[in-house]
Amino acid sequence: MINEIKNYSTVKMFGIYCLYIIAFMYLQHLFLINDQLYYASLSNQLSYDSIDKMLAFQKKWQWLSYCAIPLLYFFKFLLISCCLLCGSIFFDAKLKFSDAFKISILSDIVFVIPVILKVVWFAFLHKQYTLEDIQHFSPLSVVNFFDPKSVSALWYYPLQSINVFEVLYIFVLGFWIYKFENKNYEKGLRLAVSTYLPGLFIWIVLVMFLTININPKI
Amino acid sequence: MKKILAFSLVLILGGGLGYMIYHIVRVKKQTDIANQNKQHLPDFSFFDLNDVKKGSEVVKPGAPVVIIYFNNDCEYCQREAKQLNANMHMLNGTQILMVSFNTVNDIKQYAKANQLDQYKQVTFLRDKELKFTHWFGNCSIPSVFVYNAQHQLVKEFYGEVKIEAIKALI
Repeated sequence: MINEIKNYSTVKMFGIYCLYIIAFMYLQHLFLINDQLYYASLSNQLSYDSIDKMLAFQKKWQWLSYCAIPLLYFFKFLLISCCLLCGSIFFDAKLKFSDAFKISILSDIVFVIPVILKVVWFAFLHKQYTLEDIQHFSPLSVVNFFDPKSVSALWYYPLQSINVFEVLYIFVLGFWIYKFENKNYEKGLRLAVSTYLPGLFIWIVLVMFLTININPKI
Repeated sequence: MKKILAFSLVLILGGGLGYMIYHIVRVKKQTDIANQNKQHLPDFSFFDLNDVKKGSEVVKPGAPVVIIYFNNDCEYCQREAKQLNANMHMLNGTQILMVSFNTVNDIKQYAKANQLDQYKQVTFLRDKELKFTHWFGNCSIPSVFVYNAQHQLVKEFYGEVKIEAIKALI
């Protein structure tokens, strides 16, 4: 099976994964986010006329958010692949770029779980929700130990990023490195921890850097 | 060769990371000070449309104050101004300070196009020295700061806001 995955086209794998993500995003919009939700959540601050205009604008350009998915995910996988390749030099592993790219795609499937949880949670279990509830939904995350309204926008993303799925992701990353490299799992996991964690740390600092420059609510 | 490249990359990333952390800490400190200071109407200093420096003496004592930070080119600011003109009766007795970093001509055009120049309670000020964030912290455009009659900050809105929401606070 691993040979089939190794020989499978990276471009095809990336394309299929992007289609899945777009489908999940579409489902999320279809089931969870509707016009009534916007009116209920924003009418405290905005007039109905302004909400109408905002919704019209959003509907007009929604296709763009779907088109941006492949681009965003390409950069995500590219950055993770670079981290893995850098680490492979220090760890004397012979990882090829296409392998590293495939490993990052295969491991990313872990992050589909919280998206499914979100849809199930709001569509079937917690039907009375606001836009803020959807934005703040972070299952099995450290941020849940705090009141979302009291957490500064600067610290929200770092706290949200410390979650069970990130930990699981590192284990899965280690597993796929082990499978692609034919070395033991411990070595794969060590490579994953020592490359992905610093990468994630830099990413979180970058997001904080952008937040402090853009977001007024800090 | 590969190891040299990898070490160089680590050094570059380390440098970038150090700069970002330094910047975050510095801006956070400034923002915390501004957030604390703006709880009571700060002693700001802007310019009127005749390029004369104006401080908080333009504020009438004992009246609620609404400060709107705007940009003539921003669509939301145009909508805010139209709403303000249409609902000015709701803010009787409230002083409105419209502050912008635009040129004097742009501010005059904004005031005229939205008929805000006809109201005595509206004062236009120019943030020529780009110091608004120094007194009011990070903000988006438009930003609206609502102060009560004691000049205590009641609420701040980032983005467009309907006049009913402001009225409900003062």
